[in-house]
Amino acid sequence: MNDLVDGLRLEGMIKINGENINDPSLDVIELRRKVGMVFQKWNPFPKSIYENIVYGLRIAGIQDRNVLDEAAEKCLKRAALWDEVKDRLHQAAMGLSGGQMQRLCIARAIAVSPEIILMDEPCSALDPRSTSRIEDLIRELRGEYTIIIVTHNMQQAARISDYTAYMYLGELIEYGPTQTLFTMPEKKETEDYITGRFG
Amino acid sequence: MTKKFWRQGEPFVWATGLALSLILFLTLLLFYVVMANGLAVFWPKKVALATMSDGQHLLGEIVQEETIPGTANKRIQFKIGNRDLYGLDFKWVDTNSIVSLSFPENVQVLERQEYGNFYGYLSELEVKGISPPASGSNSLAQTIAALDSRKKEVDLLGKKIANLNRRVELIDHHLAKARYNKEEGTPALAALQGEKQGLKTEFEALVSILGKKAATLATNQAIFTDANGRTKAIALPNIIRAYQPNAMSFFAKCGYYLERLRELFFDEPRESNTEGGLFPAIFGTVMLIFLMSILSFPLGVLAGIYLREYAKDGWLVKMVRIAVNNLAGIPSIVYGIFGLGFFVYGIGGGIDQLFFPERLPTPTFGTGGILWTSLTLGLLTVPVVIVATEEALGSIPPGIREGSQALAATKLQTLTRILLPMASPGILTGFILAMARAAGEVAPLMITGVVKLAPALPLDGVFPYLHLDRKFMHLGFHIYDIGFQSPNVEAAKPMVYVTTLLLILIVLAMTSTAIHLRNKMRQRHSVVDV
Repeated sequence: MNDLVDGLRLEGMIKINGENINDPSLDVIELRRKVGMVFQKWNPFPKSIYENIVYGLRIAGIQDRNVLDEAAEKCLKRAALWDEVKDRLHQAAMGLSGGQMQRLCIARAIAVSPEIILMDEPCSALDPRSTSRIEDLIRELRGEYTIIIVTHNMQQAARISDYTAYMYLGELIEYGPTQTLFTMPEKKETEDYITGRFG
Repeated sequence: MTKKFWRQGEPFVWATGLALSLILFLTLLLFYVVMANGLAVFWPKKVALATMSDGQHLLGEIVQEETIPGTANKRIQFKIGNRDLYGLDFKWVDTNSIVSLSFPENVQVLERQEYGNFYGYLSELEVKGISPPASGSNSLAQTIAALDSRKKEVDLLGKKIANLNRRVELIDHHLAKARYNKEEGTPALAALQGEKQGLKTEFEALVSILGKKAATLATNQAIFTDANGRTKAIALPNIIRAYQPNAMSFFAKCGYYLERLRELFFDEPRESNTEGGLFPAIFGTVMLIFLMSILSFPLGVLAGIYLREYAKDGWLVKMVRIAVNNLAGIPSIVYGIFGLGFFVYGIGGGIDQLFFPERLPTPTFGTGGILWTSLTLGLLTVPVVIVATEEALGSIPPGIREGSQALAATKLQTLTRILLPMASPGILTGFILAMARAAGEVAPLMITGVVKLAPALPLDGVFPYLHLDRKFMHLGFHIYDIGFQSPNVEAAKPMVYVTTLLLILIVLAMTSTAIHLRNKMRQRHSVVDV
């Protein structure tokens, strides 16, 4: 995704199952199918709720109406949005509230059954109530998908994650199980950050 | 106090309001003038009989009244018609020399095939072959109606002859081709020659029948007298319409008005375009806009997509962008000259050399035609469409693209399924502007294919149905032509207003259809407004 941004500088390496994802010979479409993404700012398409969910499936070439219907219902249920929108599936997605739209984006991401879901500060623009709903959702989904979430909110990281990595200005400072990192950090910088002496 | 007044911006609000009302006022004034003059043209006006101080009489419609410059006297302009008797259609009369004005009920107004209107009284009918008409106020109209079927017969004969002519022309083309390819003497050619001969004899027979029929029809005539008692015999087939405006009821006038509207929309022009209908011009205008849209819209949208989505940003793209923006500002006559040089003489001449060498030096495509005109106009509108497409694509939030690509959509899929539907209202807005501009252009048309009188429509029932090489008529050019190039400007004035009104209405109709379409799309693909 990041190659869409101008002026990008890349160092280091990210591997998924031993494969370097920045390898130029890699099929990015295949990679994006495996790795879903939820953005900081919700970005539903100006289409109906239903069309938003099945967009990825249609792109993957699935035409069968029954399959699409079933997937839409399943994903909306998984994203805890079904009860709120089941009566207006074919209305514009832009008419939903911010939290609902963000959950719709999560539902849209899981509709294509990725292995990993990247979440880039999914709650930073939401009120606390919507944030807690999304956190519940993340907790529920973590059994099925590997979720990588970026957050500026330490409490959120502590609440919902199993493993935490602390990054500062593009450098990975420390990585470990959430329990350990928050209670007994190995590095001084990490300790400064979690104790509030910095940041 | 005053400082606060200025700071709060009250005068600025006034200025903005004033600017808007000024524009609105001018627009409404334009509409008012065109509507007031254009709509009234077909309403039957009363015919006045003026008795002059020297004992002479004058019959005509009152056109206008004005004060003679430098004096207190007034003068009236009459439309006296009877061009074949008087030589002039209009006459100014000093009000002091008019003894009395009256509106006699039995005045007849005739619309004729030639020489314009006739104003006078019916004195006698000379008809053969049909039962003598009942005398009375309506006898003339009844007789003309009775002759209608025979008139139609003659018209049909004329059409048959035109058809024959076209077939002969087609055979001539084949023959010319054969001669060019040095295939003389083949049996197929002989057959063609025979067919041509047969058609020619048929043609001559039809022409003589037509001549006889028309002559017998023309012996049916009516004798009229003008205001001063001069008699004039007019052949009935030459009379298109006869009515007595001073005796007409309101509903009769409405009927007359509708009949004239029908004529305007569906009939061919007469009398060097100053009378009759505008059908070929309306047809040409609409078809030109359609062809232009079909040619320029896809081209502009595709170019805009490339510039915004695929081209790497750099000085080259910037230069292209500046060039495109400048193209939109080039005067249209320059496009016209380019169209003439490049499309007509360059491409058209090339096509003639390659495909129709046997017809040279008579050009087929190497002369003005509707295809070249629409290409020229397309060139003129394409920059607007490119800019609109670019702007519309650029205004879509980047999050939407990322969202689509994160779901494993390719760039093409993102473009066709998300971006283009979202950009469509903006693209259409640009297109509407372009269309409105193209519909009003006259200058480039005049040198690439518009003519005063086109013998045939560019779309008809003769194979291959769509004749893109044909010249055509156009409302905008029509206005210029009858308004400023006609020998009888005064008589053409009403038609100028009507044509103007029609052109405005057609442009309005086409743009409002497009606006309606755009609003529908806008509802369906509304952009995020958070």
